[in-house]
Amino acid sequence: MADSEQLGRTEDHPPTIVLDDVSREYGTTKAVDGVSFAVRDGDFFTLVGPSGCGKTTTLRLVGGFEQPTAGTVELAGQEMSGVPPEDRDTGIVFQSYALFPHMTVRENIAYGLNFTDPPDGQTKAERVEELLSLVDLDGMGERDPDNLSGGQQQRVALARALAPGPSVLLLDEPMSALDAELRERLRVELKDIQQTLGVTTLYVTHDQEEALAISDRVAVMRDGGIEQIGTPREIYHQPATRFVAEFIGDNNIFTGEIAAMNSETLSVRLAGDAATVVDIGRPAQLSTELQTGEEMLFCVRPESLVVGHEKNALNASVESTEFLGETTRVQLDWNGKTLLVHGDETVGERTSVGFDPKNAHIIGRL
Amino acid sequence: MNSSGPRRTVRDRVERRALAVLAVITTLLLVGMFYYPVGAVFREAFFVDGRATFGLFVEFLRDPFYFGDLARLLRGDPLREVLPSLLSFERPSSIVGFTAYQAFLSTILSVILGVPLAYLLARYEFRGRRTLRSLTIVPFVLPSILVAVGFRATFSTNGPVNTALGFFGMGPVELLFTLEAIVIAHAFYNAPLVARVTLAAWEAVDASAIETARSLGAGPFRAFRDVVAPQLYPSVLMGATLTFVFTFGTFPIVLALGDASLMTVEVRVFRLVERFDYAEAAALAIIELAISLTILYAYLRYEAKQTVQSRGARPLPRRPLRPPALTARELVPRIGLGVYSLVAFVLFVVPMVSLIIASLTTDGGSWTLDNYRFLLERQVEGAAFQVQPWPAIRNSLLFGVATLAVALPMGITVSVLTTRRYRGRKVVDVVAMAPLAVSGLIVGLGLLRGPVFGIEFGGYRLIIGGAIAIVAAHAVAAYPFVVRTVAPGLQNLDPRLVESARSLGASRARALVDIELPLVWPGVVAGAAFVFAISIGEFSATVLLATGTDQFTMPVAIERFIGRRLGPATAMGVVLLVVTSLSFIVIDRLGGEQRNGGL
Repeated sequence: MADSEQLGRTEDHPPTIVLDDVSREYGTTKAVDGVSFAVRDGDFFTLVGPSGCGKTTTLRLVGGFEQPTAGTVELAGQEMSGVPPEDRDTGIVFQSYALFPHMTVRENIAYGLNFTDPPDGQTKAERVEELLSLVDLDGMGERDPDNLSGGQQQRVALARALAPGPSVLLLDEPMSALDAELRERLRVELKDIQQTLGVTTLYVTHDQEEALAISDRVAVMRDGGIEQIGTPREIYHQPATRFVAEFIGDNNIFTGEIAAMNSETLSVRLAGDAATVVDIGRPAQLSTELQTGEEMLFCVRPESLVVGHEKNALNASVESTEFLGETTRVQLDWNGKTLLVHGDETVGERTSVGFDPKNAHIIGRL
Repeated sequence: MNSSGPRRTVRDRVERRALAVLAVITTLLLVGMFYYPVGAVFREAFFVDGRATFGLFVEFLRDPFYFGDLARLLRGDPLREVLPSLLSFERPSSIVGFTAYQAFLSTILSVILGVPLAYLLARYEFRGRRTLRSLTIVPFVLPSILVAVGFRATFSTNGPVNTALGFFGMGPVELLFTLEAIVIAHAFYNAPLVARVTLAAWEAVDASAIETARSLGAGPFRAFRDVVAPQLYPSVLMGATLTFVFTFGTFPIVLALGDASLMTVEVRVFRLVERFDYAEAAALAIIELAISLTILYAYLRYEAKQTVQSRGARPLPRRPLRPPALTARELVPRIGLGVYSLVAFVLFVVPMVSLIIASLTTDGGSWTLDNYRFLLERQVEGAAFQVQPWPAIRNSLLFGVATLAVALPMGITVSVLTTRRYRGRKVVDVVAMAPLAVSGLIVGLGLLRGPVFGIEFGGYRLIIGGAIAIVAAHAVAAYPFVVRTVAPGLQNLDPRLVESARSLGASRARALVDIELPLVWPGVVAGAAFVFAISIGEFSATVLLATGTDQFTMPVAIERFIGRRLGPATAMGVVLLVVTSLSFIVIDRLGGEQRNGGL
């Protein structure tokens, strides 16, 4: 996991956050199990995974609210073991926002400036004004947090975390208490603010769509470990494991035996129907060297599984259709296996779907 | 927020360690003010002439003066001779027997008077319900010596009860110095406690559970028996157990309302201390502690087996007190409550009113302010051994403030330490809350025999003055109440608040001061009011530590006045009543209610 390419250790772009083989155990359970990653300066880095996968604990280890039982956390090149949260150059926004209810919006934002001077020689008051306007809350400084909407509270929490000018911003599911429409709008604003300030950001979410939309790089977590780290596109199009392929977006996973191979394509005899052999494009480099006769896994996204496509045609029967507005999701039954395709109302009871060999992604050996 | 090491000042460094320092100081205080003195009592009882022995305990157990028929059995008297008197319901003449007997009767009466009050408060809506509900907290702040004076005033020959009886051509009744007076006074004190814990359970009953039972065919009575009652029993039992333990360890009430034939264990311990029989006093106090703790432990074992009460998603609706229809079903419970209210009025209101009236009248029955004038006189009849009223008032206030200064930080520190999650927290909880279970007499005796008489330190003799010892005893008795009012508030705070503050650069102590304490401030103030009220009213430890000094307080002065002149005692009682009433109002307005029927 810890090869230098993945850790992002390049000379011109030094990492701000580095976790090296970090574990956090509670008794016998390992909440975080040997996690390593690096976040480059100014990057928006997201930890995504189902609940209980260890993503929040990982964020809390970076913030100093938990201590690792093994491994090290480095911030800006300094080893952080034993350093309390107040001495780490981080700001944090929690899911509950945790605004101080006995303080006004202004006092909330100014709180961190009790312990450090505002950046760029500003006065405290100037800094607070700047942040109020940054999060679009000009004139709201005297309000009580309780009188704000959820979205406004979230912005105050963000402004408060950013006020002392931290070099790392930690965001623990800051959107999950908001409704879907607001969430989408705020994530655009959040990304804007992050890019304007260039603050290195570690973001935790269980929402894979949000992770893809907002991040420079994404780490998919499961059972305390990292399954894959990559750009949103890599994660989506080239999932490294079956878990990633299924967790990120809809997917159709196939297993089969390699019947033949040449420099451009693999011919795979699909499990479940020995008569069907499909061709899959062979990428220039494969993470695992495959041999003829081996069992392997590959996936085809629903949008690449096209009704009536001549290549790699599979005859299936329609199980159900779901109208989603932009598209209709059709569930097909192919030899007892459920396939998802994007179709339309015209799909009949029986249909044939196929895919372009280059749109299939090889996950690896079974 | 920054890692700029060089900028860190001395103040910074102190602040960073502030919580740890407070924890250490609190531990030292707890050891010095509680564990060491209690240890001294144990040493006194178990070491005779430098040798460890159970001798004193064996003597007690075999002495019929203390253990009655049980002692006769232990001495080897044949069972058939002892059995008849063991099984009889006559008032036991032995000290432990009588103590248990009066505690048992007091418990029964407290339950009889407490449960209807819980019923009234849980099921009926009327003007003043909330006030009445708040008043059930009064026993925690009302000094028991005050109750004793109130009862003296009520039942004295020309007090209101005998005056009223005389008006109807009856009486006079002589209740003073009888078992009845003691039991009634105990009920005054503990019935509200029973009502409080029962009420908490009653309000937690989910109305839909009853509606379900009714829809399944159960009548109203059957539904009560099958659904409500099982949820109430454990709480009634808890109230009864606490009442038994409290009244088993009763002291000021029996001291003031009893006579030589009515002696409980604590009064006996006090008498032994007065006679300088410290070892015997210590051993007897430990026996009492052992009995109380055994009962409490047995109760807790039972409680642990009970299932968790359902938290009332929807509490039972309250009915108006005015009957909506003149049917038997509507009238009978209300008539019952009317009778109950009359009895309760006589029991709860008359003693306090009598106290005030007695303080304003002469023995002849005419109005006077002489009793209050007496309180302000600095010098009465000159004799140094005489108890002077003004120093008592001054001492009480001084000790109250000093206790506040010690107990409040201690209580807050313990609250912080017991709301965080870590291994061994349960132990910290028990160690810190133990003073709740140990009688003030034991703490007082320990402080008297240890620091006050002097502790040898390699040739040096450390002597703690009586005043400091009194404040220590008060602080030990009072600080658990700060924990009770502050800890629940801290527990309910979102832990992310502190984490946010810390990630913004605040130290742990700074986050406590800036964020947590302002948010639980009502609990802190309520805790402070508790501390002040408890210090002002504390009797057991103070009376031991103030003996032969000029460090006596209002309750001690009242006890000394009571035997000679009721007038000054009642006047001082009224002063005490005003101070504790103010404390009560503060507690009530600011957070007495967040403790749901607990201790």
